[in-house]
Amino acid sequence: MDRLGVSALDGPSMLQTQPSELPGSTPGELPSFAEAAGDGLAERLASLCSERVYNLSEPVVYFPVRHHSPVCSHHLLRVMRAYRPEIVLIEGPEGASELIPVLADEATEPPVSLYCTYESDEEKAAWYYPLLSCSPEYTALKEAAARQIPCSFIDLDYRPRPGAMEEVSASLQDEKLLTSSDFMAELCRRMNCRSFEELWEKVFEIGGLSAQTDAFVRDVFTYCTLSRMCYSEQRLRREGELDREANMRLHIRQAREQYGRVLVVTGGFHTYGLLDPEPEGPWQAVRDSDIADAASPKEAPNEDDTPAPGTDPPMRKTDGGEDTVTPEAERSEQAESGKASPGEQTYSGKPSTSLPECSPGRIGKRQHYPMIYTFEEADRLNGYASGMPYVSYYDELWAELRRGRRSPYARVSQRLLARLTREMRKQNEPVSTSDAIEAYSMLQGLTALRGKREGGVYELMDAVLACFVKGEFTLATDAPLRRLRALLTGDKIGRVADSGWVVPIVEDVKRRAATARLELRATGKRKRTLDLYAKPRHRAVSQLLHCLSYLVPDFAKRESGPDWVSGRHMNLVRETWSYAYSARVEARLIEQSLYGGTLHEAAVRKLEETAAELPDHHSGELAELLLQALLMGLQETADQLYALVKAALRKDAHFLSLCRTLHALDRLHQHGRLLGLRPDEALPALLDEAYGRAVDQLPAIARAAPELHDEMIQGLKLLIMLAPARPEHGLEERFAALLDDRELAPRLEGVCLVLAIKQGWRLRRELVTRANGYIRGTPEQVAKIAIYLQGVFVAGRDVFLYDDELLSEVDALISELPHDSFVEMAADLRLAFTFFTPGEKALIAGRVARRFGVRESELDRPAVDERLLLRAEALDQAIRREFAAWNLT
Amino acid sequence: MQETIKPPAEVLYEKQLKALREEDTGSRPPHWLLSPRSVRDFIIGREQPALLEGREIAITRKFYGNDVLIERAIVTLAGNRGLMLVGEPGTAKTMLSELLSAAISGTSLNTVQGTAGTTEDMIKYSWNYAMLLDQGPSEAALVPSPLYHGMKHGVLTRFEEITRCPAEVQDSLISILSDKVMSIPELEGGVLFAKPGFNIIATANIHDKGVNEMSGALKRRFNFETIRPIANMTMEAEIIVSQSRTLLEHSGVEVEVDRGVVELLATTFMELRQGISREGYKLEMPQATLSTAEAVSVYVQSAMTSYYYEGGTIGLDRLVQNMLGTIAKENEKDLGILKSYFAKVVKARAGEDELWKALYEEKRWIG
Repeated sequence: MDRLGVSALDGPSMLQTQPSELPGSTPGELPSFAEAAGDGLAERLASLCSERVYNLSEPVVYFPVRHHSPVCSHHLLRVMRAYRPEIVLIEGPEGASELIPVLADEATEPPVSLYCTYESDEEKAAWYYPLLSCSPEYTALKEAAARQIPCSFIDLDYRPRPGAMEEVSASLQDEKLLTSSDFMAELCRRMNCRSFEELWEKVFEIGGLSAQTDAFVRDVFTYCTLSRMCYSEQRLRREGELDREANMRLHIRQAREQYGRVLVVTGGFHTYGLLDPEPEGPWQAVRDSDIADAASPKEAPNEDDTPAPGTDPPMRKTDGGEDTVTPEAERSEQAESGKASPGEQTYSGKPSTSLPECSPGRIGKRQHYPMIYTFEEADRLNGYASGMPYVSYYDELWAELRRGRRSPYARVSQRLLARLTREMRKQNEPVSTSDAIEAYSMLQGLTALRGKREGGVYELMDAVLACFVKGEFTLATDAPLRRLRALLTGDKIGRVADSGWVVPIVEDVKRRAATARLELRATGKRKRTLDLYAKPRHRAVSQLLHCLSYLVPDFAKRESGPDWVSGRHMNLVRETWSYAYSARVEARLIEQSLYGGTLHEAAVRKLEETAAELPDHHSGELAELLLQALLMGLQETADQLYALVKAALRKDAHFLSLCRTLHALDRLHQHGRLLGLRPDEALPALLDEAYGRAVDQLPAIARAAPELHDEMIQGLKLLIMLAPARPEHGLEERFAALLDDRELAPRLEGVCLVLAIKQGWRLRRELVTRANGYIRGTPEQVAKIAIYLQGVFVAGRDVFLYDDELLSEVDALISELPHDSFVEMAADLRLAFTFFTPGEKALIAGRVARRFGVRESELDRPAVDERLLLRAEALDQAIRREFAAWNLT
Repeated sequence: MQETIKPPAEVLYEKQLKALREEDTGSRPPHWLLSPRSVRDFIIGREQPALLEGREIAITRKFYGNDVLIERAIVTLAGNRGLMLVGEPGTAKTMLSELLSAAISGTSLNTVQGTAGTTEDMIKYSWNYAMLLDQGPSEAALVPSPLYHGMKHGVLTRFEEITRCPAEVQDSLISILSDKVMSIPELEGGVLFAKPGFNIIATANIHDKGVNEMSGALKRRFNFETIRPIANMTMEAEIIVSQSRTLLEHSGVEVEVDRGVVELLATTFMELRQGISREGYKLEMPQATLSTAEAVSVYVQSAMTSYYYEGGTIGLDRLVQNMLGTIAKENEKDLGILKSYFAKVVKARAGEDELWKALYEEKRWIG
């Protein structure tokens, strides 16, 4: 009985099931399903497997796998021992074969990945090729290294993505065709499995553990091939699967010429397509329609199965062995046979240059890098479809398998239950050891009920759901399950051995992060609070984080702290950062490597490029870049930027841009020492120059667009603030000229006037005079009074708050307004008062109340409802009429 | 016409249970009549019929919804903790508990009905006072409760609506569930040890008004399973058809169940329950419970009224009248919700579908 749960004892009809082993299914169900698709299909697939796929006496042995499957790895090791291959060929990007020694290095710790980029004029794309400890691909290349035999990747570097121009990242191990086929859906239903994943675990990961290797290979091959047969050739071609297989076949053929025993490790979905020459027989023609229409088995179509006009004809050999090829297929066929290139190369394990492009025009730059990967990103359930889910669980299982332990699933489950209990308790959840014990016995009960040899991840989840969740299962009570999911996925980040292949910038970042004690070895968001000014060591960490987040915006985020660039929260002295490392961050870093070999180099180059791209009169943006450079601790670049800012100032004639420059320079001048910057002698002169330039541009603001007013008001305030130290620039005259400008926008007029009054340049009375000018003007002018007041309030709230004279003037002004004008401008007036805080508004209201002799407490009374007033008025008139009728007065 | 209005599950499915018992060779927990696997097959059905005296007996599906939940529930019952089925009213918790007891212990009648007036005596045991006064405390004078019976004979005890009982009464289960022993201080050496096979299946409505909170200590002694309303219209329609047919047959009403009307009813109930129409529009949700069981009752009531007063098949006017009684029973607001459902959703569909049009024409009944 030492066989897979789903396979029968009697030879090739593997799809026959044992009722005792397969709850809910009956003998004969599955065979009828397979038979409907083709007469004796399962038997023939099985014999095909034992003859051509897994036949250790053949020069080529194909080992079908599922990505990240520990039990596939387990059997693969056995195969490598039994077959003693001379070369191992692995489904992986052929261009990255050179990187295999790095991946197989002792110091490399999975999860790691290859990062493959492709860039052409039309398209930019990137793929990951992740490897976990339990991945069969990783096992194969480690074992090949241990046996000192060559090992090579044989898949294409490129995946077609029709119509994609934007940059996307995907996995090279996409399995959606395998997992979503109709065949699998039907199988899940019949075997009481809720998903393909559960089915796979039940049959292959748990059942397969105790199977003989040949039976295991046969089962994987049969299942994957049946699944493959649910797709038409057109579909496979469209998805690019056939091109990839053609490429792999070519590699295998080349290897066969040179080596006596070739082991091919690929996804099970492809194994059938790799057999060379292509197997003949009626199963070739199984299509989706045949499976769907399973009730009426069709006779095997081959030559008759001419494809519909307009579709790609399949590349298939007829019974006569002659090729019926179309021009499209011909090219591929020629490529496969290798005859196309007269100067045929011997197989060297390196990507052959004679390989044709699989479709014309796909010539672009391809690069491959070894990099770390994370469990979080490797977990299929997190949205990056590739391989098995719950990677940490299966990784631990693989560790148990490697130690040769009995009942590996039980051990992993026990450990996880204990860990879950501990973690839940740490979070003060009411969880007891008794829950864990109950859960374990539930796990065993479910295992027996579902006819599994050992309880896997699904039994573990069910057990935790039943025994840890108290009360109704809702969002509020699902913490145990959420926690368990996190444990099943894991938070590990891998490590890539030091080698010439590791991208220098990545190494540099890791070295710096280690010094700064940033955690880059586990996933998950982490926080770090830095005493920015008091501790130079913390400032260095801040500079590193600034630098990193400048290059890779996803990595770190400043949650709070002084923002030097925008000038906000400058009163804070601590910075809080959150950061999370992931393969995606590393990939972005690798992309940044074109800027330089170290973090600083890259940041400097990127800054320089950004600066060069700015028009040379945008001094404001340059000054902000300068601030950024200083925050990153790049003093030398900053020195160059000073020069650029200085040059730009002379060309800059834009008031707002000049104000931004002034802001930035002033901030540096005032607080630069907080950042530990050495005092720059050139800075005061530069600041002075910026000030002068800004003052010169003042007349231009009179006619600025209203949406720029807010920023201009800030600029005006800054100029006034800096004015006392710089009387020689004649700000007073400029203000006077501005105030005399009839075109000056009312809002700016209010601001300028208040600022001038504060400086003692103008008399307070002018505020009222100018307001009167609006009120007594034409109707259009009357409407502007509210906007003028907005300006007054925004610049002089203190004036208004404590000056009774101004208050009474404003009151008089408003009461003079005609009713209609008041209603019209009520909205703008209301807006004018929003510049005050609620406390200030209360203060003003109190003063207004006192003016009219009303007690302040009266103000808190709710307003009388308008309808009530109307009713009272009507009532009043009615009573009056009554009184009049009765001659009462 | 049968003798009882609602025969218990073990009578209703007698043949299926017998057939399963005969073929069952799997290992069984002590005192279980079926192996866990056969219990599951009994509840969720299977394609392959069982054989009883040479005849094929179809094993039908009796519970629709989450099959994995059934597996967990069965394993819980074979273990140390009690099984607590929670969920909204009308989600077939009671039916599931009956099916489990019938399959495992052969009876679904060993039941404590929880109410606000349930006392500890009713849960444990009470006395035949005449005999008690006459002979003093003796086992013969003791009146066993269903729980006592369950412990003594190793059968499942069902506890319906446990959250309706006062918390202190609920808590009398704590020691019984953890120690599996009941002490009877009135009797000399009065200790009742539970026989293997004993366990408790409790059901509780959590959203209902007037329920009591359960203590943490009691919660710890149960494994909880949450039963959700059916989210699949076709499946719900299926259940309404089959249950209505059974109920109408039992009432002697000989009419065919109208599949179209059932689907209409199922759609209405599901949309109002989930607060979204099938076109994706947001709807107000009434407070009243709109379970599948309520839908069955609406259908059966309407069919019976039409049968007795009009002498024909179900009329949509009767359907709307009964719908009104079910949906708008909690408060006035629910009536408004039903009205706006007719004004928006039913009206829009009336243009495309004859049946919906007929339904819309009956909107006068809801005012």
